Amino acid sequence: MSRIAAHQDVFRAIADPTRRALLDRLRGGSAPVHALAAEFSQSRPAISKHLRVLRMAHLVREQRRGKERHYALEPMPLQRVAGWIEGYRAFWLRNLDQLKAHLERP
Amino acid sequence: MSPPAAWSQPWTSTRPPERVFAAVSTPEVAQWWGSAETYRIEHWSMDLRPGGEWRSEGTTADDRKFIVRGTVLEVNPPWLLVHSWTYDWDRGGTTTVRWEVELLGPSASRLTVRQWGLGADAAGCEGHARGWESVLGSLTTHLER
Repeated sequence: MSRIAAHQDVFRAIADPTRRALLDRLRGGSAPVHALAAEFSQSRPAISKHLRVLRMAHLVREQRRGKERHYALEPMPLQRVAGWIEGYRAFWLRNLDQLKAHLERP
Repeated sequence: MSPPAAWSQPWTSTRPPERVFAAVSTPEVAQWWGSAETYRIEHWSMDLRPGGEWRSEGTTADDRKFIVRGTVLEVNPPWLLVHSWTYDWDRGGTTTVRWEVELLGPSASRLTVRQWGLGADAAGCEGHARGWESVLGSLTTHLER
């Protein structure tokens, strides 16, 4: 099984529902901060803080376009976490296959 | 109960519940768990009552020793076994595993295994406060869209 520590920042980042909602929103395409903030009930500074946490976990990247900051989704960290979760599912499936073979041997 | 972070597909067997339960709750586990390619269990024990200890020790395919252990939380043979599972890798995190056996018909059983708590230590306080299992559940849904 892969090391949990390698995904720690990602786990902390996605533990918050607003941050998960921001990731959902960015799956639809990159957006400037003011547009993202307009779609949430939280204040602009609160949204900026959430985006910073996501950026530190490499879940989003920031691009400056003139005076505006745009955010875009970075899919790799979530895919790595998904791979880690998948490892546990595969672990259980493999062992249960072995249980079945053991119990149902002729 | 919050959704588990990892769970099995429904698993059915032509063996009766008592047979299935014995295979997962006694040293018989060492006969089928793991494989030559991953690891082999050399010693397995479980004190099958609430608060009882269980322990599994063995060797991995690349010759490292491992120990996993935990405590029995709930048991109702042959239908239910719930225990903690603490592993000595990945920061020694603790998860909870629930084994449920159902009777499907004459000499047929279904086993459902669920595991909670994966990654909770890495998530820290946020993870516990926000319901870590539902986080991983919604992540899985999020990624499968």
